[in-house]
Amino acid sequence: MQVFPFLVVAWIVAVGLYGLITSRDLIHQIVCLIVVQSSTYVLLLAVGYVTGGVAPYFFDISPHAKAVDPVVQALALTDVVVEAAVTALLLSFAIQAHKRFGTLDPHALAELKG
Amino acid sequence: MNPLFPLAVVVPLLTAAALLVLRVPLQGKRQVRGLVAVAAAVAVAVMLLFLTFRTTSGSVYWFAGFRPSGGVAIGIDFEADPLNAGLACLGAVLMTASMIFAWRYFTQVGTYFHVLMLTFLAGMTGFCLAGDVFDLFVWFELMGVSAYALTAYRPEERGPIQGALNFAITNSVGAYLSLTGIGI
Repeated sequence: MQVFPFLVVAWIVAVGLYGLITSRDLIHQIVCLIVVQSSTYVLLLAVGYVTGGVAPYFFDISPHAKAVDPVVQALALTDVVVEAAVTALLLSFAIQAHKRFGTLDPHALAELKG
Repeated sequence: MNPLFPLAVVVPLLTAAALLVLRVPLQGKRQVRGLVAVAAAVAVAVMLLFLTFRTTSGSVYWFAGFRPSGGVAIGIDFEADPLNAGLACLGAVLMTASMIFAWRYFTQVGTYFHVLMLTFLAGMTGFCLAGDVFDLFVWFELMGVSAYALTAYRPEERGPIQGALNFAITNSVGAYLSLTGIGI
């Protein structure tokens, strides 16, 4: 197991969270959320990687050949689908915010003050 | 194989789909829509109540017959014991109560409200009954997406939109971090 992919994951999470917190634009904020999520793809693929393994399609290779873990790949695929749904919903919220209030700045949008 | 396991999720989803398909003929008939939605929620509650009291601890339903063999489990399963079936039943009862409350609370309510409530109910039921952490995450996100849409149910006001954006972004970050935990 290599350390490098996990460092990349930590870096992507940090960059995404920094963007999420400092963002002054809803579209930018949503893109930062996608960046945070994309760290999970890297992590899942890194967890399931087998050194020297081939793609897990046991059609023209021996069933006992060394292959990478297909379960985490299925999980990553599910993750992509979930991300598409959440992103579409959030972008529709952003469109509504712009249509109704003429702003995409989350600070200008703030009505609920703690 | 107990057919109540998949039915508890399939019934609200199919009812939601039917309400959405029939939204044009049911345009002005708000009472009918509300009645159908409440009936579906009550049916789920009854099924889950039955599961709570009649299942022996640890009864498992494997979808599409993918049973584990030789210690290797490939497939999606629902498991029920009195605790998680009871929790799902509590969710269904609360959903019924909130739909009855919304009947008078909203002066006018679109078809989407009932559809979203029913998909939310299906998500909750699946979340409670899921048999492994992978499916737990998938059901959590299904539940989450309906919940975000329900939070922004009145998009013409400032509060719901802002609340929905905050809720969706915070909850999504939390879900991705828990997915990281599942992965590790």
